Amino acid sequence: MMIKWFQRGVIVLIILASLYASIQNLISTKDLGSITDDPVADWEIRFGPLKAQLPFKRGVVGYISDSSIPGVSYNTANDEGEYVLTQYAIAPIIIVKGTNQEWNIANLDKAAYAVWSTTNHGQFEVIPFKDKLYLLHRLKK
Amino acid sequence: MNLLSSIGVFLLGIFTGVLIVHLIWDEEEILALMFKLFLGIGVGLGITSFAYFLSLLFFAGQHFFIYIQVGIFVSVLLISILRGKAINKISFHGIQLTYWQVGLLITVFLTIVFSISGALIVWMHRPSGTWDAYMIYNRTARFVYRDQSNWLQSFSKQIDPYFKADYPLLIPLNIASGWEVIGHETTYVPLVFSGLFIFACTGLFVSAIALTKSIWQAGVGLTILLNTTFFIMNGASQTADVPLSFFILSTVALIYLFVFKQNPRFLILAGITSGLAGWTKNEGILLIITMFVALFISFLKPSPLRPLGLYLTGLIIPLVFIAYFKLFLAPPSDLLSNGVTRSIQQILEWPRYITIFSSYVSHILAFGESALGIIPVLLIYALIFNFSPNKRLLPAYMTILLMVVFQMTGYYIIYLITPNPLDWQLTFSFERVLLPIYLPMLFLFFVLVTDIQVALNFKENKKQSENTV
Repeated sequence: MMIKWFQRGVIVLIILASLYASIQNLISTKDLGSITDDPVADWEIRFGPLKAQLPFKRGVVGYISDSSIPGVSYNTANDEGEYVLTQYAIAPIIIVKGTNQEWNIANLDKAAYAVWSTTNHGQFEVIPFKDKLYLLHRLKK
Repeated sequence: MNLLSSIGVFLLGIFTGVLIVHLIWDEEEILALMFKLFLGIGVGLGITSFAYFLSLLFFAGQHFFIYIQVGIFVSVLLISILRGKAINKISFHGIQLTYWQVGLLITVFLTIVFSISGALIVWMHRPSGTWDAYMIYNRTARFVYRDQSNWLQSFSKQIDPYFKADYPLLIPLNIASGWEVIGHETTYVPLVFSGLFIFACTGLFVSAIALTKSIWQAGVGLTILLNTTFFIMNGASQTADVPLSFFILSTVALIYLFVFKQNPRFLILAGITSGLAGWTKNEGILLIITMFVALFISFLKPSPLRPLGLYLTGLIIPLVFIAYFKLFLAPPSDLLSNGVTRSIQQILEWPRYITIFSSYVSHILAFGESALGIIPVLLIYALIFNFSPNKRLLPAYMTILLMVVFQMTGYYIIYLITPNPLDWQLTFSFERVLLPIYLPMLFLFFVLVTDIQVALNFKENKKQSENTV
């Protein structure tokens, strides 16, 4: 009989602990930040005008970011995240790293763009957009 | 309106799935019906993705998938009616509750409310999902939906292998078909899809334990499962881990039911669900192989031929889809992108074994991200209530354990040869890899440990309990 009561006590403890844990779990969701902090939505808005400027709906465009420019400092995680978000935003257009395509996206901060523009002068028509974004159209030789 | 229509687009597929499951297994007891409802959700969404895949192959750009869906549903409904498989009666047991049971029910209810709230918060903050969702599944769905006539370009070799365009298509095709039926792209479709799998996975887990033990055992199991924060958060993040967990859990529960009820049709259903696991994620393809070997070993005596034959019968159609996709459409996987020589070199680097093993131990001990330590709670629970295995069910226990061991071994080998930095790969993938293994292990735990209905002398449903122990 004692064992039964002991077992019932354990069940009660586990259930109460569960309830406490589920409240804690709920509280932990505050780490997600503000409801308006959706990086995907921000990226979609950022890329909207650039996407509209591309002359095709399906195809391949080049992509460079700060990590593509030698000597420029960058945050690896952010750089990787922005690459993924760019592909998501401009789907079904495929992005490939580099500027070998006719149309290329440059996601560069001010210092990186300055370095890039000095080494690539005259090779591209540059269409600037808001938020450090450029569309590069390779000029025919 | 968007939310309601996003729920509506999945209903035809779900009804079709439930009917197909009912056609294969026609039991009408209430717990069996519940189990079939939850199983039918996953099976139905799997069938939807197959149907959409075929419609893309033959009618890309035509945009009449809704008619195909209606046609499939009506056909399955007619077959059900003609074969007399309509549900005629639903049998309930008389339910009388003690204070203990009322307390347990209230706690379970509150845990469910908190879990739903947690998922809602994730959906409100991350309506497009998290990393894997927009890198792989929702991205592929966009590629297919936004230019359906050229949908095969979604698997172009020009796509960076980083984006995993070789991943199976159950999730992206459900999302793309949902958008097609609604007529526009909305974040509600993948969001509802992820919610359906959290719901189905939880329901399947509970109903499987209730069906084989008691609803009280299932209630305790549910509180533990829902306190595994990672399960809810990951599910709401729209990644493939909870859908994969659903199909692995379904396969395991169906094999357990096969031994428990001695009904061979469960193995056919297990074949279907393991095939759908392979159509959900590459790890699911590993499951098809590991489950085959686990079944072979566990049913060696008297003969593994019949169980394997039944399993393969269910598996064959999903396998054809997976094989066609992998052989003719999908770009190469990045797994061997370092080359065979480098992979062999990595296999020979013994420090990698230690790193992976250490990661296995530390991740398993801390698994779940729960404020309630899952492993310590289960250990205490097992010590107090003891295990009471049934000798007759040994092949089922063995199949589940072997499957888990083989899956973990498979992951170990993948970590050995991964072209990505090992620490990075372990940090960002291991907990997600563990989740689909965790659910079958939790199921095994609650069918092995003494039923609280028996241990605590709950009187209701005693007849059922006597059948199970």
